[in-house]
Amino acid sequence: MAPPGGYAFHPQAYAKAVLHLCKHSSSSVLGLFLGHADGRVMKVLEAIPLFHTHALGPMLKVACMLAEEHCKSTDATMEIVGIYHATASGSTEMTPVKAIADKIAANFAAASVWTLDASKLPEKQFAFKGMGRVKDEWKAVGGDIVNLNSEALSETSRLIGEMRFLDVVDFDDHLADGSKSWLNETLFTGEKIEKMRID
Amino acid sequence: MEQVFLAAAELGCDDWRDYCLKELTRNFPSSLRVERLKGIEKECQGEWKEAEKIYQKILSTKPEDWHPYKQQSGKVPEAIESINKYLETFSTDSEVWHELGELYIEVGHLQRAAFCFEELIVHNPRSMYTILTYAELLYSTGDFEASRKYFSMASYLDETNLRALWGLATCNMVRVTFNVLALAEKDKAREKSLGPSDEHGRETELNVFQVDRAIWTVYTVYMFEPLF
Repeated sequence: MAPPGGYAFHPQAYAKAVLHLCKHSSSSVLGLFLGHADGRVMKVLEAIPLFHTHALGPMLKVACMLAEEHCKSTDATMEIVGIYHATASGSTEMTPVKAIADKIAANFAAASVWTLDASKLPEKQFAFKGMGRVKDEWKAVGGDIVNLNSEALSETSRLIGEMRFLDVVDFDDHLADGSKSWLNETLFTGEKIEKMRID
Repeated sequence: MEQVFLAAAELGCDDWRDYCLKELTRNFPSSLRVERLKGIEKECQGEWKEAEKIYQKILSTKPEDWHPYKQQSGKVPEAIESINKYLETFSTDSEVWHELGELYIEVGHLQRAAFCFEELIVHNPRSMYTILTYAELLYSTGDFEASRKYFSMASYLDETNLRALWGLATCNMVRVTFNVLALAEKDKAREKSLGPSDEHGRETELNVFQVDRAIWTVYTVYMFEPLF
């Protein structure tokens, strides 16, 4: 059920997700959104970049389990509220990740799927097309019920321009080199976006 | 110059791409490799028919050149069909088997993708990437025993590989869960036939959960160690 108050994105979650998708623009990319429902609004507080290669069984299961453990250790109310993804062809359909989305929805009824719409990026608009779970189907989320301040959008554009997406570490990178942290704690250190808060 | 062209084509830098192609055509006017690059350019611009014409021309002059078969279509099902046809003639081409495997994963035919990766393992039995992907595919199609064997092999080849270790952990978790749940089911059935109380079955289910958490804790400790 789409939340009546809409979705509110934390600027860092949005920026992290977009940077991750930009880094691997020529392959299929997947990541998780963590957050919780706060009254009428669904708050998306964090983005966990996962894969830029195929997202197959065991690694996906491990990634979700670790994300849940991270939720428990940082903020007990936080949980996996949705996924974000992009395809190499730039299509905004969610069919490639439908199976994964259904699994997330089985654990969290108000789950959402966000597909990157790269054409919106140069215009500094909210660049995700959302699909929310309504009963057993996925229905498109209207653009007007997403809340993200314009300063966050222009900061994200600036970070893309500076190619900061090269610093994003996702779960695939972590599996290749265990010392890299997929939580990306230091990604925005010293940036304006670090101090921004959710609306 | 060819590499710059390919990079520009992939990143969408049209000016660079066109410049490279112009220079290459000027220096190598009758080269088949340059013809192939022209085909790639047409693909980037979405002119599939033009690209196909160029590839057909290349194929008619040099039938054993396999690249055109690979690149002939932007549409996945047709690409799969062309590659299958190509592999009937040239079945030892690893790169093409890999391409086919990736395409099958993209459309969700995991069993067929697994078959492609089996071929790749036959050609190169010690490639970590192939073994790990094959193991993941086996897990995704439900063959946990075989998946565990391949993750074990991967761990044996490289002890520090995280993917192999995690794969092994998840396979073991699934195995334990299935075994104990099967036991719990048997117990429940036995209890039902003996008496009304269901407590023994419930107890066994609780143990499943505890074993799960135990394995999970061990691996979480290992997991977070490198980050500190």
